[in-house]
Amino acid sequence: MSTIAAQPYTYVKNWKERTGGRVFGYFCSYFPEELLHAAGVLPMRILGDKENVALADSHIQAFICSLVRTSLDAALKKKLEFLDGVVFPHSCDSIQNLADIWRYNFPEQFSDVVVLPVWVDVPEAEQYLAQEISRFKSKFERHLGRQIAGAELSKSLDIYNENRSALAALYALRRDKPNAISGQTVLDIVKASMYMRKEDHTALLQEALEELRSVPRDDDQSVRLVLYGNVCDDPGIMHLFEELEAVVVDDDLCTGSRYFLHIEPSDGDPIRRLAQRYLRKIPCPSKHSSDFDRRTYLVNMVRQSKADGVVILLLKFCDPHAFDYPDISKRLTEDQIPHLLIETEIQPASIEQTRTRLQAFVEMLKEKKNG
Amino acid sequence: MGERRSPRIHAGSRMKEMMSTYYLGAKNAADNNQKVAWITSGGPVELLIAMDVIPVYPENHGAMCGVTRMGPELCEIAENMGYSRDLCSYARCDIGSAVTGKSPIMGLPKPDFLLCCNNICGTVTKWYEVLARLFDVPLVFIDAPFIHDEMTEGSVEYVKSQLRRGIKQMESILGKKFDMDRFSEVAMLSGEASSMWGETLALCKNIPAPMSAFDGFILMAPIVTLRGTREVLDFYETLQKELKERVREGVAAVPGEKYRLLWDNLPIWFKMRDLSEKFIDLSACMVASTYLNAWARYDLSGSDPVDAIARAYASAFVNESILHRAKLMRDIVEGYSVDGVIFHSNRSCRPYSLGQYDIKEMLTEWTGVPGLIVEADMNDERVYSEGPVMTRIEAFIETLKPRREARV
Repeated sequence: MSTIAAQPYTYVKNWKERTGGRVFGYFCSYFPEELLHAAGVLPMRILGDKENVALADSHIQAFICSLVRTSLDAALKKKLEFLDGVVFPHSCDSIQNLADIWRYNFPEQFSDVVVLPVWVDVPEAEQYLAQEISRFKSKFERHLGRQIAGAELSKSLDIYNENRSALAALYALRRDKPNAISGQTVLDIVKASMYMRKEDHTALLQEALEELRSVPRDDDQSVRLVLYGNVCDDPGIMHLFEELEAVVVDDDLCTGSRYFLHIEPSDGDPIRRLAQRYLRKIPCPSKHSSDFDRRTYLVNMVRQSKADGVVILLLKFCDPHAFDYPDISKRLTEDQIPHLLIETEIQPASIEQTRTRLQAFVEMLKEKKNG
Repeated sequence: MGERRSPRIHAGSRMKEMMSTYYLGAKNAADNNQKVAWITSGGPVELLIAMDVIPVYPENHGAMCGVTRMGPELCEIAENMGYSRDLCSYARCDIGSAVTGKSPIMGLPKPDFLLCCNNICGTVTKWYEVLARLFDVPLVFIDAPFIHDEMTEGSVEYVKSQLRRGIKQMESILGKKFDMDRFSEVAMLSGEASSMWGETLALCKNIPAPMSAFDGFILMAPIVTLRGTREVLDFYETLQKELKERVREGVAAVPGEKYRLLWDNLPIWFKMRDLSEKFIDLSACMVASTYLNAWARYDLSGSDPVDAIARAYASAFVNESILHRAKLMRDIVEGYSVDGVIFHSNRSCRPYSLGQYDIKEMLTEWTGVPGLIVEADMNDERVYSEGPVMTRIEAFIETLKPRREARV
């Protein structure tokens, strides 16, 4: 799965060739991709591009996040020509406008936006989202020239739930045996699930889980870290943890647990189930919730995983996270949880400064733990 | 230069009085047993007016901080609290002012509750979450789904149910019943003020234009803050009269007007005077701005005020696709005989700025009118470089000469 995570497009292109199936790109962890799966389409997450921006500069200002900039750049450089469609959820302002720019520049490509509600925990949001999903479904069906039966969608929801349970099991095992599997490998496994048909991924993951279960629980004294932030797709940073002998025990990342946590009950109208899933999942800061308090959620995560500190990885120019950060930092400080903020970009930058800061942080945690 | 001056708009002094009275009233609200709510500039203020709550606008206050050049100082206070320099400078100024009471008017009165509608950006959602934690007051939130293609009936129903939820929430905060008849009246007045404002702006279709967008940026304060009251309607009636007089007498906002421009995005508040004088020197009049027009779009004539408010606010200018925005700009370019478009690429306002490059291309393709993108910020002077901006504006105006000569 690490190979797939490192070269996802190669895998997807091979899958396409092998099966003759269609592939759609999607953004964020909020697109109801189960609908694509139910029609036999392979959903593929677009996570930007590692190359520096060249063509997107004439469409997108430099003060927009590199996920948005490099993704459009990849498309303009024709790196995503193998996609049969691109779909967007409503998440933040930048993804919202990217959708419009994308649709203007690639008019031939099938594209749509599922405009999710921002306020996720009011009853009227579910009614609205169910209607919005149905609207998208009809448009998608017209494009495919075929209907998606309720039973097909239900089946896909079950397959997704199974995969989510397996990923949750992986995270539970990692909390107990963080030395048995590296932080990088765990993120690779989650990432691979965004490029494979979920049933194929679950099969591979079950094997990995078997192996992990047979590893004895370790009583290692490594520094234990929780990762919090948005997109983390930089092997450089993940390797630093290994280099510094710190283990990752849990995360709240949109390329980590926020992608798969929360499973809906397995019966009822599939459209409703789908709406409920995306409204009740652990919210991204771009969503508004009356009840969910990320400060408490993070503190609990740290306590339950017996972590020594939190590394906060924030993509530059990500407003929703940047607005949450000061109060999160304040609360962690009040609860005496050491934390370190690292600003990231999609294109790998020089790691030296990060190494120095992370090294000092881990050293401090080591002393605190052993002293 | 500077010997050529724009004639003064007399209604301006009446507005100053009106706004001073309003701010004084807000400041003394607690003493007068009145409640104060902080509200977003695109929020349905009619709800507050109908409940006799004094609306207070951090964005308007932010603009005041910008004009008086307090932006950097206030931003730094927020930055020292951990708010990134990349965040909206209104939000940073507001947070900086909220925790220190610093501002040109010694800060805003503390809110009893907050009313946030996300029809202008996702930033306000986060900003008001911060304020709700900071002041520990209730947040009335209205989620208006973005419109990429058409507004769906499902979306309208969703917004309506939230307005009804918001009304209930306010009833419980204020301990009094919401008066639907009063609300209808307020919505009607608000709609009338919005069309009155639209008609006033449309007087700038005349050549020469009787008012420039720089005047408009000042004269917009009442329509932003107090629409729904009778006095706002009266004020714009007076302004309109004065401008009609100017049109009759051929008085130009920019003496010897040669070039007619459209401004996109918010003003650069801390450079208002310099830019205004620059354009006068260049004989260029900013005859319209998408920002000013944003408040001319509230059609509240429907018989059901909840339905009318839902539809009007959900289709706010920046809550619709960039294609839709480009089409509205095309209408302005054509209706106002615009020679060139200046896009303020505003670092602080991502949803308003992201897409400008493509809009510029669309407009040129559809109308032949060229555009210029200038990088700046509405409130944060530290990211603004004066020299290049002025040079680019001069060069741009120079390129408009042949077009302008062809038009005459």
